[in-house]
Amino acid sequence: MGEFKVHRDVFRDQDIFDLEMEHIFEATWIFVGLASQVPDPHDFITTWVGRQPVIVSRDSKGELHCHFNTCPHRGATVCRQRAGSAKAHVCPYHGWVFDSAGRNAGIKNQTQGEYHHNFAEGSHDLKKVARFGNYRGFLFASLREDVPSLEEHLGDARVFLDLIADQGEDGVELLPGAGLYTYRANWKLQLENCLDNYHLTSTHPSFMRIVERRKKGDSGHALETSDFKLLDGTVGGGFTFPHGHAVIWHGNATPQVRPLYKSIDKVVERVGEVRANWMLGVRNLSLFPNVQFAENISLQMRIIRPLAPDLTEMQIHCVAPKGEASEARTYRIRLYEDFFNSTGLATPDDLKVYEQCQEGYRVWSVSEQQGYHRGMALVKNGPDEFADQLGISPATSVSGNFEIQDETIFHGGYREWLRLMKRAECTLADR
Amino acid sequence: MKWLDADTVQKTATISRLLYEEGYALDTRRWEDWLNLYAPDCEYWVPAWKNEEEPTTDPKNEISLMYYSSRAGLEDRVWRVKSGLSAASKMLPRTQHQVSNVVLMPDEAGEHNTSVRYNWCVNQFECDNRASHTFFGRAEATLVFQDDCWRFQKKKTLILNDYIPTVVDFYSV
Repeated sequence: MGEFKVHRDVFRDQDIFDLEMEHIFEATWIFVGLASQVPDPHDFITTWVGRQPVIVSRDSKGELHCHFNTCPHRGATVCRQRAGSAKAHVCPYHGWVFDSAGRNAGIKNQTQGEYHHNFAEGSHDLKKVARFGNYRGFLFASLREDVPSLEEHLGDARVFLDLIADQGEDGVELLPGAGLYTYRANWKLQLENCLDNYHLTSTHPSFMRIVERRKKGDSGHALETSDFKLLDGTVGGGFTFPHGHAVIWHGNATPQVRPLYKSIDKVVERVGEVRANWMLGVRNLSLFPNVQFAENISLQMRIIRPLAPDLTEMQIHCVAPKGEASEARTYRIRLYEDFFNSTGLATPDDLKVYEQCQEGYRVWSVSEQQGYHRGMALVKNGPDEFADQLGISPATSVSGNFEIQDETIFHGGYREWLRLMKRAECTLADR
Repeated sequence: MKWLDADTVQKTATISRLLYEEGYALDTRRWEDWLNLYAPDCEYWVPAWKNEEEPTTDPKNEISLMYYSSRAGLEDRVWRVKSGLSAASKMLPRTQHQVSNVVLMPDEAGEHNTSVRYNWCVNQFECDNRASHTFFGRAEATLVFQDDCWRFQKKKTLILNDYIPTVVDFYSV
């Protein structure tokens, strides 16, 4: 009792990393993008599920697909662009053609090819991923069949996707200009940091002081933004959900310092006062293992792509309600650039700290983290009164003053990590 | 040809000297001198990329890597670097700025203002990671002659390799 142990090997060991790729990133639901990234027939994006390249596309009838990005013939990727529109993808090597539904639409010189008659009976389409799911425009793929339905996998964390999707009458979109960066540390440092209230005042004091300087007029930069100092004394908390998802939330003392505030009346009409209030609150949502939505200033989507135990690639986007008024849109963008951008005033401080953690993990004689204990005396199983507001049943709930800066919020992710990695043990035993 | 006349050559040399001075101020961490090269109401803009081919073009509706409509945004960044409160800025990389292919855009030139495009390259060494990175791109600037000195009125810096290794800040471009 009163203990939660995470061994540092999970951040530094190559064998564990390889098992994570096989048994987590290539074995559970992985976020691949938003339906609004492929709005029209034949639109596509390319991404990865674990280590494996995939294409997410919309076919001529508007149906969404997710295929591996490899020609069945000799293996070349059939599409290199990150996004675009194409009725057909032509393999650059031998010219096999695939339509936007992934179907083979032509094999060069097939009739003259003297193929065995069996060849015509086989499929020459792009291979589909095992499972592909769409929850309200949030798209996920799994490379293993034996996963629960996407709805079951997301569970009540879905409500926090609703709190994003419902911000616009017609949903949300990603604004042009994605950010792409790497940091030299393990992917789970990003997984944790999104849920980590404890680091705010010690990792981001320069940002907080700049906000203060702007308020006082010591800085001539007039951007009005969230002041984390005001979190002190506000009520907040967190929920964990089965399958590793978690969210931290806080009341917002200055809801007017939010792009959404400018259209809040319409939002209230659409979703009611309770949910509108939650939308204006601080919410950092982490969907295990690779996507996070942070809304503490404006709304950011982050996709985590592990490359090595000590190297992670991040793709970040600014998310906005479709059809947002131009003044609110510009305000949203300036807030996003200021805080969230990899070239902003906060994210680089996080990344440098992750790298210092990773360097510290070289100390093999220290094996246990002491970072999962805050909040233990308070955490309760099941919903609290705040979960009741949203009608959700999280696995655990914590609520109270900001200064608790709860660390039990990480437990759910590590429990799911363990559940999936235990399947690795079974597979290894079979080999 | 117009761009080879004596006046243009002379002015190109003057403007180049300003561009060199900017890089040198950053490389030697003379932050106030660097800020002084910008007019107080300058626009400072580093676009992001929409896709492989197109940078963002509209800072009001699209994301930029950095965008400020006045020098005050740059002053915030300088304050942060000097504050000692930012983990990313505590151990600054050693940087070396290079500017080349400086071309005045004669159509927009006047006695007290001029526009220029040039190529830039920054070599950056991170002492803690023992790693070197190179960032490079194109830039366009409008300069104004103000208080006996040419200053940036508008500067758009395009980073061609926007795959950012942990930190890219104002001193990296």
